Amino acid sequence: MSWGLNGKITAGFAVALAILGASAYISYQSTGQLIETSRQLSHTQQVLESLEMVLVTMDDAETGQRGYLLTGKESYLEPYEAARKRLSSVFANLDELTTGDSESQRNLGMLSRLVKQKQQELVATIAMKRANKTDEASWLVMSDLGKKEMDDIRDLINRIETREKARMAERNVAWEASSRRTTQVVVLAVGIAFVFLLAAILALNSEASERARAEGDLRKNRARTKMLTDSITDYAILMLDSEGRVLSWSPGATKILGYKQEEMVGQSFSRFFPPDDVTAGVPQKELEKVLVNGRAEAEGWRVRKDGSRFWANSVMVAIRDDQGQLHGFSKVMRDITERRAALEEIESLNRDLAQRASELEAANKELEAFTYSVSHDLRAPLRHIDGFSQLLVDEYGPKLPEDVRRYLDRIQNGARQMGQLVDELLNLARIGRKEIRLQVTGLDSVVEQVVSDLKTELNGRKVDWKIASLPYVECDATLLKQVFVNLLSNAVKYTRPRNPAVIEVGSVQKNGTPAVFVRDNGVGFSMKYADKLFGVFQRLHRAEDFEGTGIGLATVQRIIQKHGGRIWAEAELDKGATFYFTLGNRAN
Amino acid sequence: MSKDGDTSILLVEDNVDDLELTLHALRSNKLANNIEVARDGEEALDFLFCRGRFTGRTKGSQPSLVLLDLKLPKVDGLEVLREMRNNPATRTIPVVILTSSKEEKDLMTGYQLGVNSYIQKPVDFSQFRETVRQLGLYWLVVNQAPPVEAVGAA
Repeated sequence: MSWGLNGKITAGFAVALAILGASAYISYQSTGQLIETSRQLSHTQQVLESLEMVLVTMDDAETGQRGYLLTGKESYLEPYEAARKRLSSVFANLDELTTGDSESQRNLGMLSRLVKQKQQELVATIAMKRANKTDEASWLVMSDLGKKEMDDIRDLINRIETREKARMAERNVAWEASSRRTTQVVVLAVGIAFVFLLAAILALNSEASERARAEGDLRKNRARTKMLTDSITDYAILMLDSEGRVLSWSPGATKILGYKQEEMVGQSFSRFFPPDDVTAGVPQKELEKVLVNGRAEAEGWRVRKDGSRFWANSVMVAIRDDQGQLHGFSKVMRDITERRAALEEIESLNRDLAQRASELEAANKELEAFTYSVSHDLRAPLRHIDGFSQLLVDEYGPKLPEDVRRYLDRIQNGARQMGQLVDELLNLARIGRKEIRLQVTGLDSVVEQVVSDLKTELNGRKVDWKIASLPYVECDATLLKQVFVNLLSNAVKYTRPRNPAVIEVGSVQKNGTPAVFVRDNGVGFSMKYADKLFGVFQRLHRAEDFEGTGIGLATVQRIIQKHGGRIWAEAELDKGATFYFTLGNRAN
Repeated sequence: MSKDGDTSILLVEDNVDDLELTLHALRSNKLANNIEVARDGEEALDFLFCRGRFTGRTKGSQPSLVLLDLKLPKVDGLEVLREMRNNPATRTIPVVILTSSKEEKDLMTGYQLGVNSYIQKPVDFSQFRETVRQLGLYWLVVNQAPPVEAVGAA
């Protein structure tokens, strides 16, 4: 494409012109030849006429001579005299006409000599007549010499004429051939030139329509671009020249900054920077950054026409052509004051959160230290109370009144109960802090172990165990064992009035997730208090009916929640209770 | 049982009440002969390494069992255990931690330091007495102690 369409069109025209020029030259040449040929033709014609004239003149001269010889009247010599005079001019003319043609000159020389011989004969006979030597003259005439000379002249003239005519015919043929060729060449040339011209014109035409289409597209594009920039009102879209002066100003820019297009065109874009920033050269630095990197993103305060400020985010891009020549900049700007405020809010919340987290961590550490010392120090006095009470009973039992022994028993019970409470509370706190360790566990074996431990504490009670097959789940096996210990020992405890007690363990699908249940036919509870069931120290039975700390189910719930699962109960007073639990998404 | 004059049990306990109850439990189980009591970690180490007021005690007669409390003044129980296990003279002596707490952290550290047994003192004194009986019987009678040469020479 190094030529381009324009080059090709120019070349087409040039070639057509060259061909036309050449054909004009050929035509000119051919016309010159035609003129030369026709000049030669008329030349030959003149030669022929002159020769005819020689013949006629000679005939006239002879006729005059004969008349004079017969009559002796001088008036007969007039045609002869005229002929004689004419001959010299005719020959002069012929000589001129045949200049350069050596054969014709030679022939004419011969003719001239013959004509002179004849003239001499005529002169001689006329002179004889004048000297009255009529007989001699008649003899000379009768000798046929004159006739022979006349015949020679005629022959020669005929020969010359024949030659001239042949040459004329030859020239004619050559000229015709040449003019035919010329015609062919010219027609061909004009044809080719026409083709080139046609091609050039077509190309010119297509280029013109291409240009028209391109211009149409350009107009449409401009209109679309304008519609686009006009429709975007949440962004200021502007073009700057290479010095940073505004070239175009979108309606979005007017909406965000308050200035109208006519106010801003030609103005430096630094106009909407805060004065301090302008003094510090912030706009200039932005321009420099764009020039170096081709693009610059900036955030900062900008000033509206009414003087109010907003936090802007802007992207500026250098516009360069294919040669890298800078044509200006495009700038897109947004008002993100609200977003910034939201971000600041989030950051502040995050700081608060981090603060809370560290406070929480400190509190946790404190709690850990607290439970550590509780576990060491709170149990010791209980042991002492129980221990020394026991020693009192052991060593002075028989001497002690019945009431004292009963009080000591109460003291020991209280101490042991509190010991259990401390242990269970510590356990609950430990579970809260502990990272759970998941492993795939068969719940069957866990339940089996717990049930076999419980069987040793039944004191001869009759319990009907219905243990169904349980799934394998991903869980902390130690914690899950605690769950079953709590749920199953509760079941054993609250079925104490039943004979036989029926305790059932199995699994069901609840809302598409497998749930494990522990069911008993014990005393149950009213669903009215179901929400209190899992609270710490919450009890639904009197301690003298069913002993307990009120921590067991809270511990169970804590463990289930740690697994991402849920625990709930369905019960009816005096009919029994069913506890269900899931292990969330970790259930397998 | 142990030879006359030799210490069979080193009881490390700071609390007087605990001390009395533990000694009572040991006595009631006929395990109270040749008991040495240390009231804090430093005293326990002094005894074991024959220094301080125990200078002159022969290292050859190390106790057959150490009952170790964890919360102790000056040097705590786990530190006593660490030093015992770091020292060839005391490395092989059986140590039983006998304490109030069963904090996971303590259990873990105790076993990592090479304790032989870890027992939480039950609140119920009858149970405690039974526990003491069992552990005394086990470590002093049932269990084969390391040879004396090994204790002294190693």
